[in-house]
Amino acid sequence: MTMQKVIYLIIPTAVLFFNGLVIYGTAGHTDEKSSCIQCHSQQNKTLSESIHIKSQIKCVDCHGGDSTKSDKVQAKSPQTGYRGKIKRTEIPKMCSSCHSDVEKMNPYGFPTDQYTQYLTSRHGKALVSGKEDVAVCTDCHKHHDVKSVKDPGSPVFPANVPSLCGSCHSDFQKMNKHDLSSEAESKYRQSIHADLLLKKGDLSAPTCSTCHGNHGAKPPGFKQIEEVCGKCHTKQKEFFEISPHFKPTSQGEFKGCVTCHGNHRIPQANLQIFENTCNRCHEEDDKASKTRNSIINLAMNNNNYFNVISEQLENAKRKGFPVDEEQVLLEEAKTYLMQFAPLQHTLDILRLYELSEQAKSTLNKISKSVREKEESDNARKIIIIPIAAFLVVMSLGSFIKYKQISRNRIMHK
Amino acid sequence: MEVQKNDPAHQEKAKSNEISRRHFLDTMLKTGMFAWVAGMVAPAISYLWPVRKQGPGSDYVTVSKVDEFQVGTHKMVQSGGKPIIVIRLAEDKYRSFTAICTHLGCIVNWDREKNRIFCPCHAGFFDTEGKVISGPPPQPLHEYKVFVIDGEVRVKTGGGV
Amino acid sequence: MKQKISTWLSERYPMDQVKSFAKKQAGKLLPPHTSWWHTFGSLLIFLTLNQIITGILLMVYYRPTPETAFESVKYITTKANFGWFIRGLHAWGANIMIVALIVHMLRTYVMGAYKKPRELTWVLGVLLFGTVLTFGFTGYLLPWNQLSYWATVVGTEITGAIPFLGEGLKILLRGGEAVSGETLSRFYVVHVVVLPWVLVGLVVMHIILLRTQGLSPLEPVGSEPKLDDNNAIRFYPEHLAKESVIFPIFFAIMVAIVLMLPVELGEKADYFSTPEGIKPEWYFLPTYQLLKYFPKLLGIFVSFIPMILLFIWPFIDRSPFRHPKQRPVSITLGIIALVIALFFGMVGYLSENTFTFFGKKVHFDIYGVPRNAIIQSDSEKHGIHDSEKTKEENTEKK
Repeated sequence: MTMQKVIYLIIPTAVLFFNGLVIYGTAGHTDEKSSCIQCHSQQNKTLSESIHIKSQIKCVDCHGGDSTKSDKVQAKSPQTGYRGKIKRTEIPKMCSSCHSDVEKMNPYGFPTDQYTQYLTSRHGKALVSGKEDVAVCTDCHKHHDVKSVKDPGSPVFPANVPSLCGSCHSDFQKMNKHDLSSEAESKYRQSIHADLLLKKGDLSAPTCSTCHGNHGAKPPGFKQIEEVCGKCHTKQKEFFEISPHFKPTSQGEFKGCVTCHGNHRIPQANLQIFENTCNRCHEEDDKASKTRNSIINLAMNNNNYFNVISEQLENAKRKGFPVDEEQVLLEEAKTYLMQFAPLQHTLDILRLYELSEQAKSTLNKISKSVREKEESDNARKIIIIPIAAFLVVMSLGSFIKYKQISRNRIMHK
Repeated sequence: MEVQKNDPAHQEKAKSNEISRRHFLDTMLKTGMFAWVAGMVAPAISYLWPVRKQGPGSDYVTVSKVDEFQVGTHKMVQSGGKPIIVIRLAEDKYRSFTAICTHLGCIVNWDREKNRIFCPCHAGFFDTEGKVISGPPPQPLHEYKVFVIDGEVRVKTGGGV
Repeated sequence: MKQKISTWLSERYPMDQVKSFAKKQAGKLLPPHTSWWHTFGSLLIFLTLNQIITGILLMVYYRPTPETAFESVKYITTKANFGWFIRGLHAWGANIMIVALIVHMLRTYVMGAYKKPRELTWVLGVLLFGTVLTFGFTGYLLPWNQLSYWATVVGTEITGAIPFLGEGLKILLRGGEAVSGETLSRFYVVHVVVLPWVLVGLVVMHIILLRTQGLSPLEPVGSEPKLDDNNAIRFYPEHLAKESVIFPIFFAIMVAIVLMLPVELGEKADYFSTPEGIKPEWYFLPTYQLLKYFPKLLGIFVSFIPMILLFIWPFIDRSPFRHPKQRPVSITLGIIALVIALFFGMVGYLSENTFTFFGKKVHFDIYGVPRNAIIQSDSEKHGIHDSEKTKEENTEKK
């Protein structure tokens, strides 16, 4: 091996090695000038994942002290404003020192009302009144490894929120002390919302904080329920407000949405709700029950008819009829029927009837056009008669010819 | 044997009858064969002739396959030269609007981060229902219906409803 | 002018030789017992032509990829002019072809036509039978619908059980671990390029042997009479006239079936959902059913026996007699084989299906054993499966 070759080998290796050293030296050392990490290496590790460290927030910004001093006593001397571990009761205030500062938060586009909200929440009020066993900022957002809400690994990521809230609210002993139920999370997990959020990964589905608020967490009052649900179920809200139930709701005599749909364990809405809940207030045989029966019948007839027609269409499609147009019509009918459920909240049988008629006439159109196609196909089959007749004549002609030839041959002999 | 006993004239007649019958049969079979072949060739040629007539499905524009359309993204299609924007908001939630801004006719676009449609010309913003959020546009965007049929996203551009 | 053209042609094209060859072939003498049953051979040529022509026409619009196969067949069936008719002729033509093939083979068997010196004609015929079945198997996948896809999954799975070679063969057939676009593309190539040439080659050899050795007489081997004008039938015009009586009838039947029972489009193949009661085409049913009763390996072996027997039969049955009345053992064995095939085919058809006999619902399990469907539905399908039950009842009503 010549000298040159050796150098060629050594130089890249050396470069790689020193690169490695530099990378290794900086990796994880997020606050590299700080003397804190000389002792608190464990904290530093979790800090490296923090959204704060990426924005140059350092240990001393929360804990006080002087990180430029390498001597422990000097670094933690009272003159440096050293605070050490923050007391639970002081955490919200400490966080708010930045997060309520409009000037500081503006570049990130963050709101600054978390602290104010927190003070209005059950958590905040309890904390102010001296109870320490309530949630403060760090219980949800963690201490050092604070992550963005958009990070799926963050405890406040929508899909993680039920577990997060449940970490206290499902604890019977903790809840018992405050006279609260510990079943909310387990009930929620059986709901259609949880199904969408946790199983189907639909992040637009509500988690705990969607209804209860996050920083201002508290259960919505009965008067606000309608607004809370109506944030997403806009049509339902709109229709409910013109229903006979609206007046007693606004007067506080009726609990609105939750009366029929429940709260945490909200099932997929279906007609069963009519059968199970109306009779809690209404007598069997009264006017309301009759309306209820009409709605159930209407809805069931709609669905049945839709199923019949879609099966008819499916069959035609399988047989190879061109049914593109009808498939679009079926989608239109489906759109009508999807409006039926929200419209039920009006309890207005006339409007429901009208909508059903629209759906029905679309479905009728499909049925008629499919039937026409099948009939024209049957008509096509009649053509077999002349074809078969022609072929039979050909066959008979050939048969006569055959007989002639055979006869001729015998005669010939 | 019997034929021989008859008088020659009758015999002659019978023979010519026989011949004409045979001639008819041959002609019939030949014509039949010809008609048969022609009857088979005609559908074959008609089959090969490209189908050019616009079917009843022309009121619809196919956007793409469902699995090629990611949630949160948008696609642009055109119908009769007019651009249409299609947005997939959720698994089974699509919205489609004319992509022509109601302000001065610029082509609008989809802002995924902010969940809104924006017009780059004069900072007009529309929400996911096509309504104007802010900016100069005087009217909401015209909405089209979107259907998912056979795993394809289609926009209904013509007809009623 | 006419004279000029014909001299020009005769100098360049051996017109007279071709003519005399055609005349010789046309005037070929056939034994006196040549019957209506003998028309099935040429009927098969007619049906082959039908398959080739309609096949070429289908290829014009067909596109063999998983994304487009189903759609292109849909296009053929719903959009292209007469596409449904051409597809119908191709699909039903294939079925009718197999019926005609079986009749042709039975005729040959009963009349002892496979005996010396025509053993090789028979062997070529069995090869042709295998080729046509392979045509059926590969062609069934091409529409890429649920039934065709899963029938192919099951069909290729069976080859995996062959010792040593099985797994490799299965992967080779499928072009991968699973039935996929690769499978479709190689089945397509086999169906439209490889097999047609194999078929044409085998048919040519089959016919050359037939023409040079002549049609088999009914007399025992060694004492065949010499055919002459007095005791024989001419191919042209007598036999050809007979054939032109049969052709239109068969064609009429074919067109009638195509019109009355249009070939379904089905649902597009779905890798993730297996439909219930997947079965191969009817001509594979006896073998398919037979396979169920044996462990995989033994089943393969057992199902190979009939095919092997068919191949070597002319070398096993070496008695000189041809007339069925002189061959009681052969005929009895043939009938037994036929009955077994029909029986297993029937059981295969019934199995995994529910039928109503005299108002009683009977379900046949996978082995074709009848069970009372009502008792089963009471004991096993409680509550949860109610919707399934009504679905069954719905199909029953239809």
